[in-house]
Amino acid sequence: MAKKKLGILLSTAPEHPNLKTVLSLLDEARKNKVDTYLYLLDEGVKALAVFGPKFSSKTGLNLFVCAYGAQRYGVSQNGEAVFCGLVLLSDLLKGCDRFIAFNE
Amino acid sequence: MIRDRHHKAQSYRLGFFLDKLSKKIGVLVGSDPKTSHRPCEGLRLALGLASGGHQVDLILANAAPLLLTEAETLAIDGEQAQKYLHVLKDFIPAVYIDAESLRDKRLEMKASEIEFNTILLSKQALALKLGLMESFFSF
Repeated sequence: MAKKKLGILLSTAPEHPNLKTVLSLLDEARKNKVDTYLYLLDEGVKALAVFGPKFSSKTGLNLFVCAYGAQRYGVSQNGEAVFCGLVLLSDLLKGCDRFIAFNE
Repeated sequence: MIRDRHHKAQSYRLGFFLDKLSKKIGVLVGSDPKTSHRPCEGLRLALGLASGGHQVDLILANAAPLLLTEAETLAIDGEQAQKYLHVLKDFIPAVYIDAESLRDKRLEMKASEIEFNTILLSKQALALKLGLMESFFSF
C-alpha cells in the first residue's frame, strides 16, 4: 500500500507560534512514516535555518522553499531544501492526500 | 549542487503527481493592503494556483477590496498587486467580496475602476463557500 502524503505550507515568521505546531506535526508524521512535504512561503522562508538540518530524503521529509520569498528576505541555500516556484506548490496540492496551510 | 536540486524539483513536477486532479481552493485576503505586504502575497499565491489548473475562489474582506480600486497608489507592493490582478482576471471568473466589510470600512467601489466581475456576499455565505473548499489559504 502506498504511503500517505501530507503537505504543509508555512508562511508566517519564525517568531509565530505556528512554527512550534509545524515542528510537532512533522515529528508525528515521521513517527507514523507519513511522507511529508513542507513548503515555506513568504516570511516562512526565514525558518529555513530551523527546518534545514531536520530534513533529509532518508527521513521521508521533503523541504521546499519559495525562491521569490528567499530572494526577498535574503535567505540562502541550506541542507537539502529545494528552491522552487509556486508551480511546485500547485503540484503538491494536487498530489498530497491532505494539505494544511499555516498562514495566520 | 544547484543542478541536482533543479533536477529534484523537476522530478516532482514530471513524474510524481500527474495522475491527480485539480482541487477547489479558497484564498481569503483579509489583511490591510495599506499596512501589510500579505494581501499582495495572497494574490500571487492565487495566481500561481489558478494558473496551475486549480479552481481558485478569491475572497476579499476587511480593507482588502482596496486592492481592486486603489492598489497602485495605496497598497504595499501595489504595482506588483496590479500586475497579478491583471493576469488573474484571465484565470478566475469573479472575485467574492465581503459585503459587510465594504459597509463597515466605508469603502467605495467605483464601477469604472473594477476590472473584475465582483460578487458581494455576506459573511455567512462566505463561510459556507469556504466550507466547501478542499484547501484554504488566508492572507
